[in-house]
Amino acid sequence: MFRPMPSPSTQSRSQRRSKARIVAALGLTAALALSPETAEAAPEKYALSMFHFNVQYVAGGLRGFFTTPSPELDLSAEEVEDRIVRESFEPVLDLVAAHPTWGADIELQGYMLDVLDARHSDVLDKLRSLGKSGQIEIVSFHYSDQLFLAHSPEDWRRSAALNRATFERLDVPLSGTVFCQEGQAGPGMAQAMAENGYNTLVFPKNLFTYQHGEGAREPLYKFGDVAMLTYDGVSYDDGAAQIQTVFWFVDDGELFATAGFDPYIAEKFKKDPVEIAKREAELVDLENQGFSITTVGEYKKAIVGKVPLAAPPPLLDGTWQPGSTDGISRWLGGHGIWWPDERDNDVRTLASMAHRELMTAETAAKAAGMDVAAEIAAAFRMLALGEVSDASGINPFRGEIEYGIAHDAEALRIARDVIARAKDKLAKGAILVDTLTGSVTDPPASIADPPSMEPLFEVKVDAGDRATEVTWSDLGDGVSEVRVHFGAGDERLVSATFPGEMGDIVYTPGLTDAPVHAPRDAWAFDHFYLALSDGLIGLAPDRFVVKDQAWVHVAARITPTSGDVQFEDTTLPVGEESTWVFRVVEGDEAKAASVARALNILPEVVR
Amino acid sequence: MIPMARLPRPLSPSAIRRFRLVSQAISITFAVTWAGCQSETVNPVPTTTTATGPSSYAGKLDLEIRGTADVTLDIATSPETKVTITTTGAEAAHLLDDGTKLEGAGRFEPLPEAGSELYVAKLSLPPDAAGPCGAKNRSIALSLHHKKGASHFGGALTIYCGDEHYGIPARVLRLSGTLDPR
Repeated sequence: MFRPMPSPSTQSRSQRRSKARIVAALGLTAALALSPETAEAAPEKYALSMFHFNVQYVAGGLRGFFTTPSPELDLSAEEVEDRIVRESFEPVLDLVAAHPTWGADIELQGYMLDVLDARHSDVLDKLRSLGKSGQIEIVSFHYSDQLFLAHSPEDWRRSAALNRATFERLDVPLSGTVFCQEGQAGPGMAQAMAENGYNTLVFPKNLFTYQHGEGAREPLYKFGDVAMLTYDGVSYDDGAAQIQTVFWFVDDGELFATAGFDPYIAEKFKKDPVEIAKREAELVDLENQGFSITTVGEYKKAIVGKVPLAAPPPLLDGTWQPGSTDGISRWLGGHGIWWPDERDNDVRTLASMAHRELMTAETAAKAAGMDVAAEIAAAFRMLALGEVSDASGINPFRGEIEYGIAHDAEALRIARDVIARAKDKLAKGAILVDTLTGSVTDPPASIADPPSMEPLFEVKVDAGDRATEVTWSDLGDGVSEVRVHFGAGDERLVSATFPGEMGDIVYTPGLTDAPVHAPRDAWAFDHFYLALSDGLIGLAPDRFVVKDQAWVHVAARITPTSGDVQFEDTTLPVGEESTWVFRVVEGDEAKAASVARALNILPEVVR
Repeated sequence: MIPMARLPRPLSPSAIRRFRLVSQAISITFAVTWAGCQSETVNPVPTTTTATGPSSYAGKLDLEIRGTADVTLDIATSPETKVTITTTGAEAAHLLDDGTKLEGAGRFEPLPEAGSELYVAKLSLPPDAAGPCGAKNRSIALSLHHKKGASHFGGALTIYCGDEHYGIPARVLRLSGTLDPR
């Protein structure tokens, strides 16, 4: 995830934002101090933070980032990781450790713990100590900084299990608070959190605002069986309880101690003691004004029972800066600065293929009586790394794109290797594997091509200079297949629009396996992009379209004023043809969900 | 769809810095079926044989962007594929040194329901005591994905320490580029 760098001669955006937050907090405090009523009420004051660290910030390293080779700048993945640890991560730990009354939240992926364990055990010791003392809440929801909202819930489950195991193995306390890579958040996380021992989601303020506009928020929301809070406009005063809450840092943790320079800027990404001292002084000042510089977990404990547990408005899956990234589209078809190298659809479809193959391999091996747990676990780890968000957004450079493809391809290879051995052990030339039921049987002797059919409706296709063709096939039982072929051409931007009816937005949120309804008219946005982890979205009460994610895995664009659904890719490589495949399901949403599950989550495959 | 000028790759840190600032200012937010195996499918769409692929591929792929891998995949449409790879510039000292030649049997793994194919091989090199694997063998996996209709190949040479071709790899070396059908 590359972000535009700050001007060396001026403060970074991050610096300005962080300072603005602290200044706002100080200003608010001063204003309240002038109010006799407030002074008498002695409001509780909390200053919170969320340091989002990502040791895969430059997934695969900086080699090739610059055209001209340079020993100083062509850093390997390990060298970039090491700098993140020493220049940006350790200084935050040291700052907190120097103030035993302070607390902070640090979010990181489990893979970062493995990096610390392998090469920075002293830093791991510091983190463990601060975690155990409660000064730092160590927040982690995924082993790799993966785009989990776009992929099978099973991929996340394996990742989360590995993550938890990594924390346990390294004796690092895992917090119940949740914040995620790219600030991914959505309604499906509630159940996943409850089932996995998490209790509080920090929902990105900009994602909230993008969906519901500016305005005050409740300090605490009920989120399924867990809780949720956001971090803008959440101070509370009901006459009895006065709670002032500020978040003094919510950003990439890498930027805090380095004067806003990120790891891409190898020559500038260094610990800046002067900048750290300034920030420390500001926080000391904040503490002197009565703010408790604490963790989200401690804050939540303090306010429960004093504030209402409010019902949240409807929320859709998304990421933390939807205004600048156009939602999640930037990872699923949208292009960034290094546009010529991007191929979002290739990255995401390959991960989806690897998922299918791993489910197939595990099922086939079980039927063959093979113990392949270690291989399958290693492959799912590889897939978690391959699903890293930075392989397709925000501004992935070639090395990051190829990092995703390399890891996904290797996960796919391991799966195929297991399947080949399972077939050998079963003494079968071919097997029919149903990953839903677990059955492995002989495949049918022959399979006929599905008959072509008249289109049920027109799919509008835009592709510039590319020749296009749309074909329909009847799969039976009210399910049809639509193939949209884009011929080779120069145009990078292609789209297919499916006509829909007004009515509820029906889709399957990330980490869940059943569609939900969201009102179409409850939003502040004029359009929104959904990742569709199982590929499904409604077109009408009894009609759905499902992406075949082995062919197409770009975001679906919806609007409050139309039921149409548009899939668009701005990263189709020049000169390459492409085919997108969809299923259209006529029937109820249970049927559509079943089709989506059998296609993208738990497939039936002949191998 | 908003057209956008093709962006050059950066030439130097200062150039990239200038470019980023410009980029910020202008707010860049601009926004087959393969045939070959009759019985492979994902429920419920069947895939049938309608074409034959090339018998082999060969060419030079980029290895870790700056290095190269000369790759030959012989008899590529058969399940059994002979793989030959010679690498340079992997920047993986004592794991895959310059000039290393890898050779062995591979497999062609079709993914017809996905319009894709995968070329794989499990290769190995003897121990190099000076390297990260120490006294262990180096097990090297080739995983090379190719989408039908595209000339682009992408994947990895993944190096594992020991005799297994899975686990926590010592390195995942990225491969990308074009192979020509032969």
